[in-house]
Amino acid sequence: MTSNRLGFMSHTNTTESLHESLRSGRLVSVFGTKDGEHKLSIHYVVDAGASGYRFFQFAADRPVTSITAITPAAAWYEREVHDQYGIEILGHPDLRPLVLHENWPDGVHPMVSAVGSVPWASRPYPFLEVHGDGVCEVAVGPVHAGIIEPGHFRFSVMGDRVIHLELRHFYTHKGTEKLFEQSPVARGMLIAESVSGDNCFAHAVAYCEAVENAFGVQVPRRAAAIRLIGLELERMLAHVADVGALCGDVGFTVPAAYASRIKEDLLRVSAACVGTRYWRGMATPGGVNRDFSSAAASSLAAAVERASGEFASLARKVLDTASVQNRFEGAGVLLANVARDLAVVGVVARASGIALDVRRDHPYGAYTEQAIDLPVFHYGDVLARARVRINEAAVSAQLISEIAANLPPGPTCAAAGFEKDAQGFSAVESPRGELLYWVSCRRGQIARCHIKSPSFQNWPALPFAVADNIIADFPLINKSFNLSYSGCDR
Amino acid sequence: MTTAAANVLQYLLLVLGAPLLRALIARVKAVIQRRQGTNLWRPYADLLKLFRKEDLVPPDSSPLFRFAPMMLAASTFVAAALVPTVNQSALLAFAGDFIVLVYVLALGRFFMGLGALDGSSSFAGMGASREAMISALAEAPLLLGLIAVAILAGQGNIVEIVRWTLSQNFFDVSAVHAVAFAALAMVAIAETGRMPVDNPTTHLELTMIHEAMVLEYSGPSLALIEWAQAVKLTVVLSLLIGLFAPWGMAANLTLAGLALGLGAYLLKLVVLAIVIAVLESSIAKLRMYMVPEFLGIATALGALAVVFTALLRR
Repeated sequence: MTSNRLGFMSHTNTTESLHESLRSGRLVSVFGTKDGEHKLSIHYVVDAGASGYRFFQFAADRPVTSITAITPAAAWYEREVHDQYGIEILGHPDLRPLVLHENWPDGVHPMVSAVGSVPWASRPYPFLEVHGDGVCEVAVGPVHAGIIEPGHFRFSVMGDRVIHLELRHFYTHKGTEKLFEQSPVARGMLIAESVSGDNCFAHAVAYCEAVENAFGVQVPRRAAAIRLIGLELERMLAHVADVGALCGDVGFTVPAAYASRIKEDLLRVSAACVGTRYWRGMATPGGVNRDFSSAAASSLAAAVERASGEFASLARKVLDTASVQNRFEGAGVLLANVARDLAVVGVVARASGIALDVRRDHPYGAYTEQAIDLPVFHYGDVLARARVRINEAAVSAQLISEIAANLPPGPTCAAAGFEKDAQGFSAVESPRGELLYWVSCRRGQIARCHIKSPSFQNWPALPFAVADNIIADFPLINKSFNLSYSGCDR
Repeated sequence: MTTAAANVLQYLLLVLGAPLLRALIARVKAVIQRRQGTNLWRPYADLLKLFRKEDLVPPDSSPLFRFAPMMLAASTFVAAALVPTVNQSALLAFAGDFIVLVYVLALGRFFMGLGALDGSSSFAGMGASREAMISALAEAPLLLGLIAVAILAGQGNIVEIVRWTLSQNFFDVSAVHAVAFAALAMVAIAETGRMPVDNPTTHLELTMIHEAMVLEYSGPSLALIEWAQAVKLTVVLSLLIGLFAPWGMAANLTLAGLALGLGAYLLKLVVLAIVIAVLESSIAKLRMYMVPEFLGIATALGALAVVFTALLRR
């Protein structure tokens, strides 16, 4: 297998070395593959810190022993592999269907069989029941009152206090990883862009970099710089919108309205500079599709600087408001040890005292030349997550200004052919956290593309932050995580 | 013009004009957020639309579900007839004192709670239990505040209290009035489901109080609830105006006197609407568990007001 500057694809595939690696490292992803002869494999990705990402591959035609007992973060991944590939997992504490719902028949595994016409079934799905005097169940969703994505939340409450929360997601499962199969390598980013709407550029870049790593394509420096601007702008947009939405959730409407105005300004300047508001269609394997004029770069930098200043003063006012502090502080605490056990990533990890950022730990693209200032807070509450977002937006604005002022000259796209068989991966820090793409290409087509999305990783941590809070605070806590349904459901 | 005619007119003004007050608050909030805001007549269009729509009733509910909004509307409209606004008199002033007003409003709440539980949705049940908690806690400060003012005036009837207040020196604001006003203003916020106790504009079911109770309602029932809610807000604000700032209210039934009374009343309502809008724009909603503390402060203020009456009346 190929070696890679981000890490290496390991040959030492023993269970012992996997367990050893999991004890010192962080589980990144678990996924299945099927080779040309229909032989199933299960892959484990571990972040081994300074030595990069380590990949482990095991044959999965026979049952595989669960690693959930060693690292609880594997629970959802193993359930997914069990659903999608039918790989038997031994010793998993909870192998209820995860991705596939009650209407999906037993024994049909979408990643190994055709899904053209699957009969309608009705399987039972037992929720965990909490018994006791005065315990009530409150079911919320999948249809919500606001314009948000579908997800089901099953609360067991005692009065207003939440005892247990169970998530039931995957209502927006689109079979994305299946869609990638047989798609031409040069067009895969169009699928990647549609995985998670507000992180579309991060997904597109992650896909492109995985392909570039697989084929050894060197991205021109100018293209890498433009990608960095796009990624940081996306992060800034997400954080501005999230802080506004947090205010909206506590009924603090004025900052919410101002934040959406700041976001809109940034979107409009994006549209003026690159032709699309969310940078869709910008990334392509080998570089970017559109160049920046220097006038566009400076107008973008000016707009970002103005938005950053406005957002900073807005954020200061929000955090100085006593009624906001009262709502944010101490709400939805995610303890550091829980966060570590569930291997959470992104803003959620950094608000629970885990200094983790792909840009700093495993730099890629133009980040190899940048030092990233990492805001980390230790309280793990809504306030900590809000402050991480506020500080990160400032860091992003700073990065955009620096890069836009010194755009390297040169071409924006390297010519590349994708005909040979190759495998590669890339990791990108999306606004929600670590995003990993693993691609395997055969004869110019994608044979398999696995997406490790930060939302899939972080959703299981939400119930731990919500337990023991009052149910009326759930929307606020959920918003402070701001996880994607679409990105998680694939 | 006879007193009865004037009373009917001021009653109609309150009941029919109430939706406009809510629209005004919404408009001022929109302006503060630099939004355009909706048309001031929008609530009327909404009511008209809802009255023309079909009433959807949950399959598991009893006739109580439909009956509850009617009780709410009826009790609120009766309460509206107990409060003087433009004229120093009220349509049903003869019918009872402030205690009648308090419990006529409570009656509507009680039935809405039953109706919400009857709809058998978990959100409505949650809203009903929260509303029950708030109304139980709001009752003490509401009564204490009103009792303090009544003791001071030596009258139980709201119209009589208003007349007594008008007979006092304009600048002679007693400590009882200041403290009782604070208590009643806090109760008014809780009673009418405004920020920071409840957020009337949220879409988050889990955080709702009043809105959660009415989630299952639609069509004419919802229209009655919305209308009653608007009237209730106006009644509570009119009560505050009548008890603490009645100046300008028409004493004699001349055209000039009534015009002055009307102008003063509308001006005071607009000022209150702006105050509410500014207040709601400058704070975040209270955490649900802080609401009892909020009403606890109101109760303490109410008790203080009653204590002060003893000092003032020697």
